Amino acid sequence: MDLTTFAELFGNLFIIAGVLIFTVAVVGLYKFTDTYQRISAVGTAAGLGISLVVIGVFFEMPSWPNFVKLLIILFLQLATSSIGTMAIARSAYLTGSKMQPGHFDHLAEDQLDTHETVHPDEDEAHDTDDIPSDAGHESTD
Amino acid sequence: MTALNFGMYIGLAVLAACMIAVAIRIVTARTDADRAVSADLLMFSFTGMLAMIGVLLAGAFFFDLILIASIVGFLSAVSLARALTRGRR
Repeated sequence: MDLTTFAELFGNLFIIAGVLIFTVAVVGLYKFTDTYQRISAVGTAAGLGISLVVIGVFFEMPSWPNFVKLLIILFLQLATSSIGTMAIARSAYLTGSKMQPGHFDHLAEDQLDTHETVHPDEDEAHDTDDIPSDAGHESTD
Repeated sequence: MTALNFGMYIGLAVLAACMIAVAIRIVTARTDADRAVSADLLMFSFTGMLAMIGVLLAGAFFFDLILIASIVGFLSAVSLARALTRGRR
């Protein structure tokens, strides 16, 4: 068995794995009941699926310029797909899309906590700023 | 080269079926957020299909095309998120 045919076989296995991840994402898009669950399925396909397909395509045509481009594509894809998916998830939260009942909304709880605790912290901060400055002046005098 | 490319043809067929299913999902979704998520997945599956078509056509610059398509996919995801909130951040 030749080395190039072995590389082609290996690349085909990678491509099939990547396409399977896409298929799982599409099934999740239909079966999940919540926007955020669908976003998690799509984010997996965007990062891993594209990476596996591109690695398989590289094994079909291996060369050094293609290897450099493969590294650039992998870095850009893994770095940017999560940011894009999180941006869509954030805008979905800001537009108020419903979460499936039975889950806790930790973001809303955190916002309530910060609104309650912001004003006492600011007052304490002003007090603590005033007290050491006065004490410092007295000590120097 | 022809007999060993079984995965490429299977992948193209399955990915085309996935894209049709995602397009149907875009039409039948209830909320705008679901449409945005489906359009994101459609763009990424288009990138994967572009990679496989580039190998089958054996072009010289198809890796550059995948590189550009991945960046355009990121830009489309961010602009979909911006359009979902009607321009507010």
